[in-house]
Amino acid sequence: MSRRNGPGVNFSSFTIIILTLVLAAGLTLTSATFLSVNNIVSILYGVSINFWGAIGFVYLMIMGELDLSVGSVYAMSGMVTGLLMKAHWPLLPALLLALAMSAAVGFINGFLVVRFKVPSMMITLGTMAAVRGLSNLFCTWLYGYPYPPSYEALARLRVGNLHLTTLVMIAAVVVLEILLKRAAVFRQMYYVGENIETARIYGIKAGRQKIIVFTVMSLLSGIGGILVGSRLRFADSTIGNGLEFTILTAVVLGGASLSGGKGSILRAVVGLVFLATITTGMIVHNIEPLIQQLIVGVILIITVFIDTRMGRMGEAGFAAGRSGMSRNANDGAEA
Amino acid sequence: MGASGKRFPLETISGGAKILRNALDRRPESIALVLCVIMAALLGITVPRYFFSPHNLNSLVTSTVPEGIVALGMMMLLISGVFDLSVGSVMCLGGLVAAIASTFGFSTFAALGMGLGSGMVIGFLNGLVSEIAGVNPLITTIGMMYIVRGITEITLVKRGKAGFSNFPEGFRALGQGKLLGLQYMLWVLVALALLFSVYLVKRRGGRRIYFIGGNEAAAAAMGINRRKIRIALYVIAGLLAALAGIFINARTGAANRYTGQNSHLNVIIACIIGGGSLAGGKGNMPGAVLGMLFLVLLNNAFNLYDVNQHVQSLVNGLVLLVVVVIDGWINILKRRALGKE
Repeated sequence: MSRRNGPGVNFSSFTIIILTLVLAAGLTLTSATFLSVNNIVSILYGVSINFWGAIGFVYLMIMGELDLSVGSVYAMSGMVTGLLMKAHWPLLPALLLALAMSAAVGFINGFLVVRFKVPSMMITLGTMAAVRGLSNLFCTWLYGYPYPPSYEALARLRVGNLHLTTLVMIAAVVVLEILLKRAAVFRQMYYVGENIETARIYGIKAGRQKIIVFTVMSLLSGIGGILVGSRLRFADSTIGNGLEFTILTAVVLGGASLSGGKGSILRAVVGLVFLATITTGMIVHNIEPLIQQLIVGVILIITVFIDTRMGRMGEAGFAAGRSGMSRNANDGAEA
Repeated sequence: MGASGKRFPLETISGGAKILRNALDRRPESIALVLCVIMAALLGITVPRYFFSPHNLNSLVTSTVPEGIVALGMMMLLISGVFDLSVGSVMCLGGLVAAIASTFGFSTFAALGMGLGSGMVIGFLNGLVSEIAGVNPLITTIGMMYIVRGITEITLVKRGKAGFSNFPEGFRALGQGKLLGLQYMLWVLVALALLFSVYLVKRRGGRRIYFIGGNEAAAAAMGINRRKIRIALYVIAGLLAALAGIFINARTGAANRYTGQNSHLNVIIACIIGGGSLAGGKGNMPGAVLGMLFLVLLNNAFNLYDVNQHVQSLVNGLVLLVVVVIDGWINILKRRALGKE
């Protein structure tokens, strides 16, 4: 929908990176404690856990879809792992089953969206509620059960000062960003998001690809959820609450568009870093942390507004790209 | 439309599907109506003593009405092809503004006006940002959800969990008073639903809302000002959300941060169960109310049967999935039928 290569549009590629650098520089200048190793390590650690949900989200938004069930899957996968370990399963099979269940949720999302040609927002709203109910139920069964040490250790593995999860994130960002730009399979996602009919004429199996991406999305969210559980050491019903909005905000700040065809892994991660830095900045400066929501809301709207303006230069009128979600109902895709 | 090469296997049972399709075309709220009747019959027959107790009926009303009022506004937005995720936060804001005003000595009337005004302002901003500035409604209203929630949280931060209470008698009466044995808020819901229904069905302005949601390009070609209509609908949705928040706070006697916390999702789920669609162009007022009533009856069933509360969210989600899938399937059949002719 929006052009990616025209003059001015490049603005969106740098917005979030510049914003984050400015914010970090401002905090470094105004606070003695911000630029400490501990602080940076803890920001990156937090981001490296939410990052797992953001990867698939970027892919989905490139294809013009989204997944609101990500937070619920985060909650479920950690709790399934905990429940199985409570039933004396060894760690590895427990992890595998938790991941399989997560992937199943994604497959259901993808299958229903593609087969019945309904907006992904509606379907994933449903699975979000359903999986949340399931995980809350699991949570009551896990009440008062601290996770065993082998599971707890997962998120605590360190290489030097950095957490292993952080290193994995950095490696993954480099690899995935290059793949997204170079590999044919990933380029196809952009074509599907930009114009599904044209993509299909050129032989891209859009429906099958969407189902796969939905499944991968939830599988990766499952990994994130396992790490959250491991980090927290017990089951908490608030895990992943509102995560879908946090990730959506980060991914959109990173230049993805709800009308599809745009998005980048690197910038989405920078978006997450940006949100985490705001939180840290509030704490460092002793500002009421609650005002954070207000600021994030304003930044979200302004960024998208500027991006929409830039993207529309040279396009006729306002009609284009209003809603990627309602469009799907008409275009749809085949399995 | 014609792009699909494979036969849709579900079409083999298309006889029944045709009847269903026609019924749902004319009466999109049928699914919700049937679900409500089933739930009410189930509860009325199996646990009549609890279900028909005055206490239970009263709680059914007080839990259906506020979010039902919000659902009216949301349904009109859905019909026009957009939606509003900030309604939950606006419920909190509207209720809070009215509560603070009345605690500081304003008359109930003035407090009500200020609360409703705050909701209308937020609705207007939603409309402005999404329709004039052209930001996607999902982003606009999520952003507004954050902003308004931030405002209410900051207002409430020094107040602890209870928030504002000690309202004057007049303000409490808004939520607790009764007329002819039924709560004021129930009368308000019925009156609003009738008013909007008549407008949607009988007036040209109402029909236009369906046009812009059903086929935006055609509506634009006919010279319908989609932006003006949607902005007006956002303002109405904000107003109704604030009204719901005021009713909730006046009834419970407290304005705190828990007002409307998950309402935006509940309301959208109710509207879709009640025949609305995120694709726009369909839905009606009875559907909005019935969808909400079904969610409340479901909740009631879980309470009366003493089932684990968490199963409820699971069932809500599954019901939504089934309704959405039926809707999508019927749309496919409909388009295929049109393509054949």
